[in-house]
Amino acid sequence: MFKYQTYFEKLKYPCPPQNYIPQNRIAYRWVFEDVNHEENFKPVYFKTPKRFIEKSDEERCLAMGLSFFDNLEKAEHRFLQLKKRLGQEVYKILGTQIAQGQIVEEDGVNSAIDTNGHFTHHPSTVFKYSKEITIVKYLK
Amino acid sequence: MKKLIGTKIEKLDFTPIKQGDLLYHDGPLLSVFKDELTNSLYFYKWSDCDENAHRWLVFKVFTSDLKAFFEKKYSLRDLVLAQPFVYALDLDNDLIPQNILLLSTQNMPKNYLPDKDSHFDISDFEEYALILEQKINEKILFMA
Repeated sequence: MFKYQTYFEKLKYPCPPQNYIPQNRIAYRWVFEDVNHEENFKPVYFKTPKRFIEKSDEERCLAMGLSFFDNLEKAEHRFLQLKKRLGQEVYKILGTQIAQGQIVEEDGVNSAIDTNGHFTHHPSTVFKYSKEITIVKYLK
Repeated sequence: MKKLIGTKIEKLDFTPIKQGDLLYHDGPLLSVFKDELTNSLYFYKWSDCDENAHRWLVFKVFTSDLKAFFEKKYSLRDLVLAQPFVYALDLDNDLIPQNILLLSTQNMPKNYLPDKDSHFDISDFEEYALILEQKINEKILFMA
């Protein structure tokens, strides 16, 4: 059972998409200072739902997932790509540090990894990643 | 959020119609809008936030400058600085404008400016960038 199953059932789009798969892998995520803060693992859809009123169900589904990277270097590189275009305040929206943890099959399902090392994770009700992370790098 | 020196205005002087996102991570970060009336293009660049609102820098982009951007002759910073004025648009989480300021580009906080090497690189941008680049090239060709 997925954590946001009741929301998925309201979409006219298969969510999570059928090609998302459970995996065991090390995963990296940009997080804010207080790593245990609930907001660090709240999908963007639930932070600002009104932003998605005019979006497609496919976009809503994507926004109900969590962004991760498959390796530390790509997580840092993608942050720097965005920072040089958006400016120095970008820490306020993207995060201040990189967390590392182990995603296991029971945690949920994952998209394919894109060229930036990014993948989307749809958490299950037993998602434990957030409770067992280590900060491995401060974003500069 | 940073305090800005500018002129408070009631609304934008164009009617924005969203075209697509150039940068995206858990939501749009750099988006393209078109004025419904004039077809002029505007960039919306995420620039700041606090617990109540997100601040977007909104600036006009001329077709010729955008072509130079896609050809890597201009950086994103150059596109911002090419305009004498920019808007600072503060939107709350319900996308309702809380504050709109017209400010001189010279008065813009340095923290809001892209870096000098903020050039276009397709590997860093969303697929919409390719669509926009093609449209710009077709338009230039049509106008020539």
